[in-house]
Amino acid sequence: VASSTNFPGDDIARLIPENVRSILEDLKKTPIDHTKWFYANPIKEIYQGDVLKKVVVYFMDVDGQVEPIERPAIVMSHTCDCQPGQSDHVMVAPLFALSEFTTDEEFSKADLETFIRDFKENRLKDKLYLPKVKELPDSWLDFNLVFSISTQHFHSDAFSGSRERIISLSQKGHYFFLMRLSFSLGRPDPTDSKRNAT
Amino acid sequence: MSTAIDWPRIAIDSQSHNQPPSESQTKHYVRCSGTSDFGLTVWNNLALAASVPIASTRPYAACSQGYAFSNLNGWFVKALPDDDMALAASGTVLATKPYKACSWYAPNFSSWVIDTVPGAIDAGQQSTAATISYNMLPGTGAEWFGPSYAGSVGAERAATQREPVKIEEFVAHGAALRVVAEHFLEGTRDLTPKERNFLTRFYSRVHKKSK
Repeated sequence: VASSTNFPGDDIARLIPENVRSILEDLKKTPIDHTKWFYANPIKEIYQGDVLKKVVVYFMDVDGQVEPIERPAIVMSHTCDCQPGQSDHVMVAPLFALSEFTTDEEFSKADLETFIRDFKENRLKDKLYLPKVKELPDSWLDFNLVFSISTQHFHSDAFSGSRERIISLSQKGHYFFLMRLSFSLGRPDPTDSKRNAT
Repeated sequence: MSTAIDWPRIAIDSQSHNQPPSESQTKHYVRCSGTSDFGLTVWNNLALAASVPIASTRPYAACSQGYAFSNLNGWFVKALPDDDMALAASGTVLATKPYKACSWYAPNFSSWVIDTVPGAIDAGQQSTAATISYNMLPGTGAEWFGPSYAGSVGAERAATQREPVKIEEFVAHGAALRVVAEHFLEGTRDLTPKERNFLTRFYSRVHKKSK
């Protein structure tokens, strides 16, 4: 992984688009005031990062069983790609509530507390924490759990209920979302990767 | 957009500013993947270039003032998400590893390109000012963008009536995002095996509950 030591401290600011540059201060304070800068009210069009009230997605478990589950979900597709007539599919990712966690024999209360604390501080690589807002409880997005819906169906009347949104991401929230997404999916292979050159 | 289309590479300089490219300027081609061709959201604002040789370029001095391009001698192609406009920055080096030559891939990508294309560049070439050319994918209603304004690298409104775009928001968006992400997410960690198992059990439980 390339080092970011070329941009120590606030020098990083010059790499951040002006309109979201104050995220520097926001991130330093996180999780304090997270909700204040992360969300914004939805507008007419669907945007990347919009949180949908309830969507049926399919999930394959460890036994290979596939069943529908109904969840709040977040739009993963790029804004352009989820407009009618653009890409064939819109990607959404189900959201899970932290309150759904229950301890078990192998995972103690202390384990869970640590786990949830790291969730809320966005310290887990493949997960994005979404703080409670409106009817969405404290939730998380797993970047490895994504589902595709036909764009035509997504914009159909039949899907209108599912298309209802709880909240959208603000400009800064979206930038943070992209940051996490690029970090999660776009990080380089190790330089000693055994992948063939051709 | 189809995968890997051939499209003309248009070299421009201050003299040809706002002029259509001549035939000789379009004789070199790059092969560019479109914004949707990589299938994952993360690639949406990225277009990756394949390794069709670029034989020559025309220097555009102002571009050397762009902080990210100062010593660039690799090349990359990047597309705007909105309009499939692609920008190619090219030098005298053939991009033998185009995927890795993509701008977003490393914070200091000029150095990184130099490091990653061993033997393709020497110290003398490193000081060569970057050559930037702007290219439009065909069918977008605009043929090309004018060169940047001095002191920065960006695309200014040309035949397209589009608003100027600054480098921070355009050329280097992907690269900058990666740097910013790594800067702020340095403390992030993988799940421990115990946490991973816990989460697997959780997902399985959610799945079973839905039956």
